[in-house]
Amino acid sequence: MDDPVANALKKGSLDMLVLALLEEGPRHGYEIGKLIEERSGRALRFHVASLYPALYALERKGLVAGSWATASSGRRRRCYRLTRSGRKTLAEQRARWREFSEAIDTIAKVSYA
Amino acid sequence: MRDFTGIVRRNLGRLPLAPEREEEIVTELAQQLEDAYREAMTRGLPEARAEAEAMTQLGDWEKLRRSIVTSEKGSKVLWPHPWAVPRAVSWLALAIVAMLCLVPGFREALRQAPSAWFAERVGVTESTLRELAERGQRQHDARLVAFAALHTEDQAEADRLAEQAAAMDPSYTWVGSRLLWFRAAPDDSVKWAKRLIAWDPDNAVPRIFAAQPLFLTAVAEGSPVPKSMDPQLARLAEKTDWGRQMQAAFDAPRFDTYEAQRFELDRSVLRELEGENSKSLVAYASIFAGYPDLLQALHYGSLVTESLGPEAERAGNNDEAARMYWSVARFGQRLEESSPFVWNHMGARRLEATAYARLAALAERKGNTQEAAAVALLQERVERLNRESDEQRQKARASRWDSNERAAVVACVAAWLVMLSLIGCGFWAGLVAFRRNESALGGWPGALAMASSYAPGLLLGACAVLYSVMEPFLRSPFDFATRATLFEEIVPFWYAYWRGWDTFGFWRMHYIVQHMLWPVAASVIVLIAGMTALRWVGRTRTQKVQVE
Repeated sequence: MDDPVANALKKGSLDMLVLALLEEGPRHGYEIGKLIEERSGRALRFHVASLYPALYALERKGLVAGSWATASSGRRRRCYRLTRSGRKTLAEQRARWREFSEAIDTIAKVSYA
Repeated sequence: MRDFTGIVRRNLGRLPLAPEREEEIVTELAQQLEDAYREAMTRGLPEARAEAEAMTQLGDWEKLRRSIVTSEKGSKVLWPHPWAVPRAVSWLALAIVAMLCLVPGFREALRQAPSAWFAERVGVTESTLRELAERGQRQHDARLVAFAALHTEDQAEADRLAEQAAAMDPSYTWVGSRLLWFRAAPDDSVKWAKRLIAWDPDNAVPRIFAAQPLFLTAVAEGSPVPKSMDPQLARLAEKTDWGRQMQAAFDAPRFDTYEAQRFELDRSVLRELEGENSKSLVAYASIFAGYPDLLQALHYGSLVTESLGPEAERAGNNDEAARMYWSVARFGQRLEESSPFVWNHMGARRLEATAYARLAALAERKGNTQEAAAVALLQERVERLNRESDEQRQKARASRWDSNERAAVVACVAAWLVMLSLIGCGFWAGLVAFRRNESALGGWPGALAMASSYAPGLLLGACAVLYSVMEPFLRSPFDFATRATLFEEIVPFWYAYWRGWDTFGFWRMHYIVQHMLWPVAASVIVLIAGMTALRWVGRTRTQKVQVE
């Protein structure tokens, strides 16, 4: 994705994507990155230098909470879960995104075939 | 499997966070690499390729480090700021400046830098001069006392020391000429002028100084236009001692400002103090002290050739008139021969030319055609010399004075930059020392911290410019045969440099615009091109990172 507009959109939506994935349940960083890539049909792929700082910023803001857990393989993983405040923020971000994309669709006459 | 924790710890460096939090982040990122590695192995990739693929997860470690710290601290103003010069580069710049300090010429250039800041000369200090004077008194060495008298800034002390030197060794009475300063209070000048007239009666210079207060009073009361001053000066010559003193100056066989003595005394003491390699600028000090204001000499010459001489001719005293004209012509010759100043030569030749014209006309009237022709030749010679001299003066000004003054302007700017960058370096070093473990400096401290990181580089650049511009003028008094050549070659630079901030005064703006316009325009173009290129590179880099 070489388009600066697309890059800006991608960067601006990272927080919402992370919050949405955590809404389904606690996940660790690697899993979040993989899920974004898979579910977007490889259209979206976030570099570690973007993903982890975003997670740390969300944690600092209290929207997600990180904790260490031991997986079935015996490995200790840091998992993130959505907080109440994070859930509220996700709802607000979804509403804003919907409003934004509808406005863009209307003006740009984007049709979904 | 590689030690991913070690790799992350090594590449990420110390994070300015709590140790536990730092450990958590390192572990988590190492797990990210390990997960990527395991997945690549599952896909059947050989170990080396799996490791390489895992490592592609992390590209720019510095960017990752900054992003993590920004996210953790919630501040975008990081310390060091992303635009700040790397500390290693700043330390390197300071190390180079320290190494430059080993070069004696560079040390001397730095020693002269404060002259531009405070518009003061830096030479032999007043305390050294006091010590020299005391030593001279103890050892009964009039030479040292005379040197201190020549260079101390304190006029009263100079007067006292000059008296002492003259009392210890009358051959140093000439040192009192340092008090002969055409802008000095009349009493100061007259006292020493009278002493010097008694000590050196054949010299015109003290007589001109003795006449000066009377002339200055007349100038203050009358018009400065020479023609309209003639009647006034005639009255002055008639009613006061001014005319007698000036005529005695015009008749005196020597015009000596004691240049050679001053130069030799300076060199002799500097040799003793600092050796033959002395770069001390004390020898260039008080460059105009001892030089009379020749305006009154020109006025007196004009009075003689325009009024007194013609009056004598009308009264039939042709021999007296001729004697007067010759005294003017010879005074002009002596002045021309002894003064190092081009403008004095011009004035001297003008006096000569007028006197020769009168002498030629007088000889013609007397029927002495041979003498008239010979004097006319002399007149033609000085007029030609003055024409040529005028052209040469223009060229010399362009090639020497202007280039000297231009260099002085650049040196002054560099000296000011040295001072500003030294302050910046102090601020930067303070931040590095006391805020080493800080990750973010918000607001203006952050902006200042970023700006101050450029100070060591600026200091290096300013020092290099200061040294390279000043170096040709940091010459030993022993490099010159006479003070006149020293004056011609380097004094215009120092005279402009010592004016310091005044060098950039509004009255000089036309000069700077005239001579510095194109260098400034070229610098601005280079600056704009550089900033545009940096912006373009920055934008390209940002896009690449986003694609990753």
